[in-house]
Amino acid sequence: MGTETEHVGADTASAEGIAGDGVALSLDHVVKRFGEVVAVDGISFDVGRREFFSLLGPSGCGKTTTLRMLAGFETPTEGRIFVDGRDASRLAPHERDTNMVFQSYALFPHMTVAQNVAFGPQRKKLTRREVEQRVQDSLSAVRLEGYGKRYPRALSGGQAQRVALARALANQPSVLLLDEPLGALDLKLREEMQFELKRIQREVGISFVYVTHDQGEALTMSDRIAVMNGGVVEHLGTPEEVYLRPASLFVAGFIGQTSFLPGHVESVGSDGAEVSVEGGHRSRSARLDPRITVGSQAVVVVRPEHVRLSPTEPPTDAAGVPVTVLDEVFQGSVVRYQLQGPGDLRLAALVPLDERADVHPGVQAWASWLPEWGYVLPGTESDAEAAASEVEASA
Amino acid sequence: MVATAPPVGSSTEDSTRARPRGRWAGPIYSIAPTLVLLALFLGPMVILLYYSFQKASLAGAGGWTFDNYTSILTDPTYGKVMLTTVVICTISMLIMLAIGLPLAYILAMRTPPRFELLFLLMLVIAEELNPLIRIYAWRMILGRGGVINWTLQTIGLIDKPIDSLLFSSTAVVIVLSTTYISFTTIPIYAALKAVDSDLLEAADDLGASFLTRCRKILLPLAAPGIFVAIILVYIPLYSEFAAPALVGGTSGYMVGNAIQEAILESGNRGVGSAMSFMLLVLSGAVAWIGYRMARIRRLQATS
Repeated sequence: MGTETEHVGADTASAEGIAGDGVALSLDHVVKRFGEVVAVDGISFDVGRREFFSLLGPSGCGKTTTLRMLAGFETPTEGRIFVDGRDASRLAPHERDTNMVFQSYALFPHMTVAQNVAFGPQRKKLTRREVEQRVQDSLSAVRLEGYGKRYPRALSGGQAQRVALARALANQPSVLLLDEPLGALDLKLREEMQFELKRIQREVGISFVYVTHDQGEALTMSDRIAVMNGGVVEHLGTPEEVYLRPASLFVAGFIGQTSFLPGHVESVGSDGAEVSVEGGHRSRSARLDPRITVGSQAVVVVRPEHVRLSPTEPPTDAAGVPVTVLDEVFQGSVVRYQLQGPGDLRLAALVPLDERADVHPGVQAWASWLPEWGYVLPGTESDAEAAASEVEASA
Repeated sequence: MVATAPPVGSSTEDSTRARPRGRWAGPIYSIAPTLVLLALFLGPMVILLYYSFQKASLAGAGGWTFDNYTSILTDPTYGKVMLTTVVICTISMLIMLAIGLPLAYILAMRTPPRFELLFLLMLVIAEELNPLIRIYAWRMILGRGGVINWTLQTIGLIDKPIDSLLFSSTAVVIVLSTTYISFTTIPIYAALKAVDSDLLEAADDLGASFLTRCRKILLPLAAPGIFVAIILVYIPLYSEFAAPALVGGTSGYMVGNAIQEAILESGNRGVGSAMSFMLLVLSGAVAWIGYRMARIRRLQATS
C-alpha cells in the first residue's frame, strides 16, 4: 500500500513541484536496513532545484536515516541516490555536493565563527581572497556580519544556528540538508527562523531538504512535503495537498488535528459520496479519495476548524452528527470543544469566537460541517483507531 | 546515536557528622597534608639545594661554592650525558605519542561501548607490571640469545646475533616507550571522549578527508590531553635511571645514572645535588609551559 500511494504522490509532484527548473536530487527505490531492522523501505522521489522539500514524520519513521543517506553518512542497502544527475550512492560525505546543517549545530569549538565558515571553502582549494569573500557573503546572508571573530561559546542558540547555516552555505552545495535545525530553539525564535530560513533559501536559490517532526514547520516553509511513516513515504505533495487531500489516515491524523468518522459508503456520485456513519447518520462529503467505491468501508476525516456547533439539527444540507459537549476551552480568538458523538465517536471543534453557539459542557448539541470540508478515505473503524493511536504515540 | 560516557569521577555526599564549616574549613582540612608535603617534599629540596652549593668533603659540607654548577656546565662529559638524555626522552615521548594518539582515538571513537571499559582495563593492567620485571623481559627479548636474534638467525637473515640490540640507547628508547603508554593514552582518550562525534561528521561533510579531520579537528581538540600526557610522562622520563642502568650500556647513559653515580658511587654529593636541582628547574619549566598550553587550549575548546 505504501508504494501505491507513493506513486500517486510522485505523479502529482512531478507535475507541479519541479517542472522547468530541473532535478537537483533524486532517490531511486532506496532501502536501508540495520541488521534485521528496516529503517527505510524503498523510497523514491525527486527534489527540484530551488525547491524547499520537507521530510515530515514521527520519530523512527526513517526521515533522519534518509537524510543521512543523502549526506553520505549512511550507505543505502539497496537503490540509488543521484545528486545533480551523478550517482552519489557510494560517495563519502566529503566527495558529494551536499552540505548538512546539524541539529546540534556541530560548530568547531576551537575555531572562530569566520574560521568555522571558512572551513568548507578552504577544503576546495580556493584562493584566500575567494574564501574571505564566501565567508563574508555567507555571514551576511544569515545577518551575522561582524560576528566573525567570536568563538562559538560566545553565541546564543539562535546565532549558533545561523552560523551552522552560514557554514553549510559557504560551500555552495547543490542541496542543503537540514536535520531538525530549529529543534533546540525556543518557540518564538523557532517561528522567526522559519521565515528567515525561507528567505535565505529564496535568496541563495539552492534546494533545501528539511527534516522535521513538526507539521507546522513543514507546512509553513515547504514547497513540497514527503510525509513518512514506517520507512515509506505515505504522501508526497504540496502543503495544501497533504492538508486537504491526505493520502492516508495516518497523514490525515499527523498533519493538523483531525476527527475520524468511520462508516459505510452508501453512494458515490459526481458531487461526492454519501457515508453512513455510526448511529445511522448520513454524512455527505464533496471530496473523496479516488479509491472509494459504493459499499466499501470508509472514514470521513474532518478538521476541527471546519466543525460548527448548534443546539439543534441545522436546516441546511450540511453533514453532521448529534453530540454531547464534553469540554469547552476558551483560547482567545477561538474556542476549542471536545465532543462525544454516537457510539465511540470522538470529535473536536475549533470555533471562531464570533461563531460560537450557545452550547456548554454536558449539553446535547449538533456538530456539522459543509460537505466540501469532509474528506472520505478508504479504511475501517480499526484503521482509524490505529492511525489515531499512531499519531498520538508520535506526538 | 551519539554515545556519551558518564563524566569521570563523581562527588560523594556529605555525611551528617559535625565538621568544620565556613571559610576556615578549607585551611583547617589542609593543615595536615600541607605539613606532610612541606616535610617530605620541600625539606629534601632545601637539603639538596644546600648541598649543591657546598664544597665536597667527607662531612658533606665544606663551605659555600659555585664550583658544582660551573663544573657541570663546563665539563663536556656532563653535556654529552645531558644531550643523550634529551634525545632519548624526546624520541621515547614522540614514539609514545605516535602510539598513544591512534590508540586513544580508537578507544574513544571506534570501540563499541561494551568493549571500551575492557580495553581500558587491559591498558591499565599492562602498566601494573613491576618495572624491573618488564625491563628484564626486554633483556630476554633483545639479548644476544633473545627472541629477536634467535628469530632472525633461524630464518637466516643474519649469521651472527646483533649485539647492539641490547645495551644501547635504542634499547633504552624501546624500554621507556613501552613503559608509559597508558599514561600517554588515557589523558588523550579523556580529551577525545569529550569531542562530539557530530564535529567529525560536519568536517567530513564540509569536504575534509580523514587526515584533514585528524589535523584540523581531532588534534586541536585533543591538545589539552596531549599536554597533560607530556607533563605526566615526558618530565618523569628525565629522572629515569633503572632502564638505562639495566639495558643502556654506555651509549644509553642518562642524567639519572650520572646523579646516582655521583652520589652513591663517587660520594660527590655536591655535583649530584647540583645536577638534581638543575633537572628539577628544567622539569618545572617544561611543566609550566605544558600547563599553560593545556589551559589555553582548554579555554578555547570550552563551548
